[in-house]
Amino acid sequence: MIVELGHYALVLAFALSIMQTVLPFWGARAHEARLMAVARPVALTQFAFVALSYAALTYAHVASDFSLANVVENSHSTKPLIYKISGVWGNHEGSMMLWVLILTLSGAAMAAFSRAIPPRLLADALSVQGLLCAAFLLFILLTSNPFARLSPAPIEGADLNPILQDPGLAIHPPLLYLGYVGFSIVFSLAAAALIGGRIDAAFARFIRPWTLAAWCFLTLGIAMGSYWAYYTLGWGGFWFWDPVENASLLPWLAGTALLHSAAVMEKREALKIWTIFLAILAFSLSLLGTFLVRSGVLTSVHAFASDPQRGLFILGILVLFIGGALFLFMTRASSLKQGGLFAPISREGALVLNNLLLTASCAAVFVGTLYPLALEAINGDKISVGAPFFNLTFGPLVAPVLLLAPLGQLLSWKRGDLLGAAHRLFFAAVCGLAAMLIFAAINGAPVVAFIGAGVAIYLIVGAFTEIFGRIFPSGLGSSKNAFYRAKGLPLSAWGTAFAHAGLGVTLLGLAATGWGVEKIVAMKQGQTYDVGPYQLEVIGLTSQQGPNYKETLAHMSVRRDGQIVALIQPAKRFFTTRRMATTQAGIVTLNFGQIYVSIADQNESGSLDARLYWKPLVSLIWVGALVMAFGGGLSLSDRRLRVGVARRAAKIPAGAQGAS
Amino acid sequence: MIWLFFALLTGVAVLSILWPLSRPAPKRGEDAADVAFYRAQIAEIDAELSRGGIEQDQAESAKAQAARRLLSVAPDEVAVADSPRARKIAAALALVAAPAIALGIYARIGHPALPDLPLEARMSSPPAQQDFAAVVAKMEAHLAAHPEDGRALELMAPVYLRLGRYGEAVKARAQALKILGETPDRLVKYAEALSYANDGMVSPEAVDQLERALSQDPKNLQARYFLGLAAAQHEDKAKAREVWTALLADLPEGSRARIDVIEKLAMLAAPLDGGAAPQQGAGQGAAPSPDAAAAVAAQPADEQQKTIHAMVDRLAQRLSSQGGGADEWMRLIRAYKVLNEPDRAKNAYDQACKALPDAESQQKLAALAKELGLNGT
Repeated sequence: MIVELGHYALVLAFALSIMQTVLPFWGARAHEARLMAVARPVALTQFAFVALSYAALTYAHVASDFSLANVVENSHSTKPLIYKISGVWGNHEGSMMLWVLILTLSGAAMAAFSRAIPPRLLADALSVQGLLCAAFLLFILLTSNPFARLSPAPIEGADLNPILQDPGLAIHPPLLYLGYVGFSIVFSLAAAALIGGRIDAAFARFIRPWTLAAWCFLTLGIAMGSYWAYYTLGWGGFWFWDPVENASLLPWLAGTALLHSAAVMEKREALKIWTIFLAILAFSLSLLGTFLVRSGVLTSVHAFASDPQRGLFILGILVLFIGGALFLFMTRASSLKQGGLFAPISREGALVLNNLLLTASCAAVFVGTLYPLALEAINGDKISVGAPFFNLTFGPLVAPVLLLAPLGQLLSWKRGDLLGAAHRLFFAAVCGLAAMLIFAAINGAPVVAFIGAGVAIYLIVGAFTEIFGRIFPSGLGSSKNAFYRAKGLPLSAWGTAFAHAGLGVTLLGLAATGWGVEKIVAMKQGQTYDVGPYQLEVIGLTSQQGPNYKETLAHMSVRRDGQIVALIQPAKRFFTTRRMATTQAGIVTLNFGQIYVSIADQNESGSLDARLYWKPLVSLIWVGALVMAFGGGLSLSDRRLRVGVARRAAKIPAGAQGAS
Repeated sequence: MIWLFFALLTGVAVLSILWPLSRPAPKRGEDAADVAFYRAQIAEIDAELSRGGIEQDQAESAKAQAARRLLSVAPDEVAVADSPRARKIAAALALVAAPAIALGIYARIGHPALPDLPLEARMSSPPAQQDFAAVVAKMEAHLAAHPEDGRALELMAPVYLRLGRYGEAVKARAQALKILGETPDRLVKYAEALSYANDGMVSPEAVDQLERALSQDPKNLQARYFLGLAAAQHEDKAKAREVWTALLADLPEGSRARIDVIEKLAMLAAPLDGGAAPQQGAGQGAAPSPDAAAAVAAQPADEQQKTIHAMVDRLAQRLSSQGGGADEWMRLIRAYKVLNEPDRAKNAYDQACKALPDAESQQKLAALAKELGLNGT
């Protein structure tokens, strides 16, 4: 009964989403306040129903209810509990359920926390959000229903793809979807603003928290996905310029640009058209990513199923929303009044440059991702666009962004002093150059590595230069009251600094990959193998039986200067139901670098084929992403900028406030 | 029960629309947010200035700009309208359209009658209520733990046959034979499984088993039936006739097996389209009746026909005098049809229809009539 109740709740949520689309929109046209007020409770109820439905599906997975086709195809009674729960979204139908769950959550969040948004704008935005929910719910109900039943029920399931049986599955998709779908709020608000025709500086503030939250989740989701690929796929890579990865990078780049342009719009009411465009673009690119992954156009770990009917349906959704939004944009953009003026050398100018570069790099990734697909569709040629293309296009476009990020922080609004700002960056530049020389002296070639590392240090130091200048206005000597000044700084300023520094930390990790060591050897027991500064030795092999797999573990010791510093157990698992093997890399983090060992099968001679890596500072790639997201979180928690507290904020004495 | 919950959920959905419609209209101007925003912005510019983030003259002009926007925030052009008609339509939509959409779609794709089937409950429910798959899974788990349990193997073999898992049935039978020792019956069962696995044809290997069984028990009925079948499948009608006729003599009068064999013999004598190869499955459930057997065969052809006719007549007499079940009537009708006597078949059909007025029998008879084309004649 629970299962069918969940099924019915899903259908009911669809009915409500139609009501949410029609009634508030009508109310906004008729200026009927009570009709507009329908939007909020309906959005909340709709979320409750989808959550109920999702819980019912989870129950079916946990209880191994094999009367559901979805459970039969993707679960197994011996699967560990955590993968029964996370396995719910480890398949096409379930991942669409998660998508819709987060879509309705976004609608509910907008309904719950947007009291300061003008009622008509909110009504229209929730109406657009309702239409989005309706489209995806219909997609689920008609083409990808997770509640499809089997009678008689089989007694055992086909198990989940072993590659997905990993804690990464529990974390990566929810974060990524929170990011993707979080941009739907921004999209809905932008569409609503275009429908209503009122686009002013306040709009930028309304979308600010949602953009920031989505951006933080997306940052974490991408980083988590990359780390997951790094430790499961077994060849030590963390980014493959795979179309599915690019599909997540595209909205991130657009979202990052949006964050910055919205700041300008909020301050100066400038870049209005551009900000609206980016708001539409960020979610459109999320939708595009969904289409690429879910339609089966791409085949990869992520493409759980390919079905032309589903592909067409999603393409329809894509055309409806992107096309509709762009049409609105075209008809309204020309009527927008020009906003505030600013000199080319100013904070605004720097942010415009940032936007140009980010969108250009976004376009480069877009072309690199879609060109091979288009080519294959037109004349059947299969080409692969890999790292060389992206290094040549994406790299040069992002490099100036990195160099200019600290400079932008130091320029004043409206009219800046370039020389003054450059002067204040002198210290950061010196640190960067010194780091470059030190890295070059210690680690040597390749050139890209130590240049990159130097830039990274410059970026980290530069990110905090502005904050430092504010806390110590006249040098380190005046440290009196420094603590109070630090406390008095707006959290959004700290957020900017941390986010930029996080970028530097990631860059440092990326640059250091140049100094990595890779070896492919047939390891014999009792012999030691040098990898970077460490020595590896195989102690022995053992086998053990997991819940739904058999596992061969290689026990190895990691020594440095004769001392054992760590033990690792790379393993190979064989999943009996799916008859598939996976590798579990043995990883240990030492001084931010990692020893990474991935084993193959044992040879007839008794030796063990293995790939050994020493990756200095590699963990910084993901630490940097955490720092970025932390910065975003700080900025988000700035009460002043939270929608709904604008009136209270206005009463706070001016001295306690600041602008980032 | 489940409909009660459906109604409850639907009620919540409808209420979430009706509730805001029935409350007093929220009084909040369109421009309140904008006014608050520009006030805050002016304060921020001051703060920025005091920190040195903006030049004095620039701050002044920025403040002037924000103040201008604050003043120009358009007062709500249209006062909030009150439209009871719109609200009534909305309420009607909530009450009618929303439940109609939900129930309409659910009626097409839902399965309200299917209960949850969590694995735990399926495996631990009392045996009488357990579903078949659960029993099979338990037995298989038992066999995996005790591969030497011959009795369990013998229990599982017919289950595998029923599930169409013939290969596993063969394995189970062979294993049981090895563990429990050879008996004529086990050999025959093994041969039967082999035949199933061989698309219903009695394979040479199966024939070996059957002959082995016969050498231990020359009177074994089933072995003789299958050997007859093997002969018939190889178009060796004389041999099939011989085996089955001999078998007939050993089968008790009126038993089902006996009638089966009579039918088989009739088919040998008067092969109809597709009736020549007496494979299992044709018209009587998935399995052949392995207990049946024999033939009227060794006699000359016309003699055979006479014997068969005599048997069928006896059945007809018994049915019309003492009555009988639907199965027996159907057997008679079939027999007439096989003997190429459509009139008598039709006659028997009409009698049966009168004798068996209950709905189930009528249905069966109608299906048979359709199958044999009796109504057309």
